Amino acid sequence: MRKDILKLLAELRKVALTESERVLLHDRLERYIAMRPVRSDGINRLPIREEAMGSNDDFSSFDPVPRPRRGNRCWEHGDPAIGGLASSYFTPNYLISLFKDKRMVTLTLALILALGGSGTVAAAEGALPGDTLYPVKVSIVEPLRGLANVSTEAEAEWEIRLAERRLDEAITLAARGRLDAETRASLENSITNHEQSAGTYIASLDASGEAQAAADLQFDLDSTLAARHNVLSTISLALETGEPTMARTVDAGASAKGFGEAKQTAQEESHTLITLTATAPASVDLGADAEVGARAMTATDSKVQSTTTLEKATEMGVKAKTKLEAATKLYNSHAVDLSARFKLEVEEHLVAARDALAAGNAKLKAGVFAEAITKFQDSIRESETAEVLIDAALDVAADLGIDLDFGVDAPVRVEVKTGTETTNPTPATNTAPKSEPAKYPATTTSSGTMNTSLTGKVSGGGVSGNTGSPTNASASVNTSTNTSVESSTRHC
Amino acid sequence: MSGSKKTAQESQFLAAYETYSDVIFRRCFFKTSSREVALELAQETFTRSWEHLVSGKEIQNYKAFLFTVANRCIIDYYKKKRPRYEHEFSEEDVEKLFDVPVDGGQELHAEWQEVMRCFKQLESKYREIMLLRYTEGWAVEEIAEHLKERANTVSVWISRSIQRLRTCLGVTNATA
Repeated sequence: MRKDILKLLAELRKVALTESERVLLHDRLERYIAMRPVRSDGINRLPIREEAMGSNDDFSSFDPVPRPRRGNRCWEHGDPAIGGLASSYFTPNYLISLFKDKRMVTLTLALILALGGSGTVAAAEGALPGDTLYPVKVSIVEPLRGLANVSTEAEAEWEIRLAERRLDEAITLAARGRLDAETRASLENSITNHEQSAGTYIASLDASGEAQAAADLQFDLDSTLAARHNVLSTISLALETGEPTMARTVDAGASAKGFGEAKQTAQEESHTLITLTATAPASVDLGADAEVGARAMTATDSKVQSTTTLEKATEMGVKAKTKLEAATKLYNSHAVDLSARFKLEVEEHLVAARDALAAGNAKLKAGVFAEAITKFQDSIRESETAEVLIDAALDVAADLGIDLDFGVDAPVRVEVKTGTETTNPTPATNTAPKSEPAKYPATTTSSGTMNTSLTGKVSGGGVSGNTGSPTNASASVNTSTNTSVESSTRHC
Repeated sequence: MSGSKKTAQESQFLAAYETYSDVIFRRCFFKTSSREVALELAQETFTRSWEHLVSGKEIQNYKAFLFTVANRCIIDYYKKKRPRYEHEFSEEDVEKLFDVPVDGGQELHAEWQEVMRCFKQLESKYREIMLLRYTEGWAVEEIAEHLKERANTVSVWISRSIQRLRTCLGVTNATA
């Protein structure tokens, strides 16, 4: 019977390409190689230019599967939404070639200076699709920044960050009602490309024996995907239904007085006791857990389970715990600003993060390290989602001109009870910038919302570099035996 | 291109295609249960691999490299298709995955179905190893290197898989 089993399994070898399929793939591959030749100097500078000038090689039938890692990037194909044909000359490899050719260095730098130097570059960094400087951002600034990446790992990280940036733009545009179908498709394409590029780099890392780095990057990519996906869905839904992301909504023509009144109302309504962790999991004591896990490992199957796995699980547990604490702190700082809907969303993710952390701890204690790592990763993902959700809500509010400044006259006081220890809060110093009057209506039409087809595909984005840090609250969490985090927000 | 002289790297790559295209295609087919999708993923595997060379890097071991890239393509496919991962096939997926027609008549087909019923009860890592070992014909050492495990561990897992298949099929050691 054993032979039969193995014989049957060997039968699967009969699954193979047909002759016509083999020839078809071979032909496509040859043409692809012709389009993307390996240059002797390692620089692939000509294909896109040849393509732009009208190569005789008809690639119209070469569709849609072979997606070249670089060749399909929006700036290489001259996406009209971000700069048209001109941008197709500014491929990363082409820019590299410019720098390899010393005669071009001066010209390139002169070009940058002609564009206005660092001021223009800085302004371009904040540009959105449709803005004049956006092509500069995606075709010059970002590729130039990408040149600094000297390792595969750095390349992968940079691709993940680029995917985040594109999704960030999508969220901002959606909030402003400027995300039309064409721009959305363009961004979606760009995000997919960056995700694929990151995936290729990660695969390359994995193949070169750097499995740990590859796994970490993959996790980074996945958590980014999941978190941003959730945020986009929530933002889109909120905007479609006209719900505010924040506790207060402001009309486009609201006066300064109106802002003050809205702030006052929000403050009055914010005397809410938020108990996120009524069903909080058991304590997070990774040091002790690690010891228990180590004993369990030794007692059961020390030959199979390696200390590397234990270290990895412990490390991941610490990361999960730190991430959850940061997310909780951020939430406590801004809970008062969030609308009921967003508050509920964030709380759900935080509770899920806590549950996953507790489950991970249990697995760690039991010595099941692989499952513990999975649970810890789930926890990190949930915490990340909560953080991005808060950031996105704050960012949308900033775009809408909502004043988040509770200032010296009305500091927010946050208390975070951590089991036996409570840190007394201190009056906060406000660092949030004064917002401008509302430029856009608080509610947007459906045309300005993110389509779910985008959310199902896109990965990066989020809202980076905004006022996500809890600068106006002094709260600390007992990191050793935190069994229950009960937070209450009120105003002095 | 067709008429032009190929570089050594291009020739080597196309030779690798000739050697491993079936293996890669089969891998994609088993994971997606769709010939059309498998064809696309196989093509993407080779184009991505070529991009690796274009970026100035080398491929030392084509077999292992292509296999890794194919796995990445499969994962990407499932991530785009739905938020599930390669190893998270549903029962229905698994049913489809192994619903592969084989030659040998009704009797063999019935036996095949029974083996596959037990096969899909194996843990994913055991299924993976059995496919690599007996369908792809990988050596134990190759599997061990691919999975970053010791060869002895892989051997144990193979024996364990066969033992579990036997148990599931009601085959005793004496009859085996």
